[in-house]
Amino acid sequence: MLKTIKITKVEFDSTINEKQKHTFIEKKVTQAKKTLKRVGLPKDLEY
Amino acid sequence: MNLDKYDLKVSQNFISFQFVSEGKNGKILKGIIFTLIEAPNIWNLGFGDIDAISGEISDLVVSDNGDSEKILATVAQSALVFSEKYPDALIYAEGSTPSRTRLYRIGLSRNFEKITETFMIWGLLDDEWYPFQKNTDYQAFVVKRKVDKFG
Repeated sequence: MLKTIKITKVEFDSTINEKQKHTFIEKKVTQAKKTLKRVGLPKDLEY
Repeated sequence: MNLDKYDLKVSQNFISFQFVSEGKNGKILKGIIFTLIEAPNIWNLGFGDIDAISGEISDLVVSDNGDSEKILATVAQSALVFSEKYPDALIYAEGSTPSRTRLYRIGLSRNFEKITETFMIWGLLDDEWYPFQKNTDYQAFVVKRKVDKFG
C-alpha cells in the first residue's frame, strides 16, 4: 500500500543541542575525510 | 517496491531532517544531517538518535525499536529530498560501527531496484570502490543522483 509521506519545512532545528550537533558532525566528517583521503572517490566520479 | 516511511521535518536549507520512530520501545526522535565535506559537492550523511531532553545526537545508540526497514526507507527518502535540492551532490555514508554499516547495506540491497531508479551507488570494499552489488559487505557507500532526463 503506497503511503504519501508528509515533509514539513521547519524554520530552524531547535531540538538538537547545537554543541552536540557540532560534535556529532565533526566526528562524522573526520571519519569520512579520513576514508576519502585514503581511497579517493569512485573513478567514474572523480573530477 | 514502496516501503512505509515516517513523515519528515526538514530545515529550510534541506540539509537537516528529523523524524519520529515509533516501535516496541516507544517514540524515538531521529536526526539526519548532510554535511559538506569538500566543496563543491561531496557531502556526508550522518544519522542518529536525538535525546529529547539533552538534545544530544548519537549514532552509537542501539534503539532496537523493531522498525529498522521503515527507518532506512525514511533515511533514503531524506537523501531523495536532499538531492532534489543539491542534484550534483555525492553523498558519502559510513556506519558508526561495522554492524550499522551492514544495516545500511541491507537497506540498500532490499530497496536496490527502487533506489537505482534515481541514484547510482558505489560500495567501498578493501579500499576500492565498486558499483554496488547486493549482499556484499561494503565498508562505506557513495550515492549520486542520476541526471534528470527532463532536467
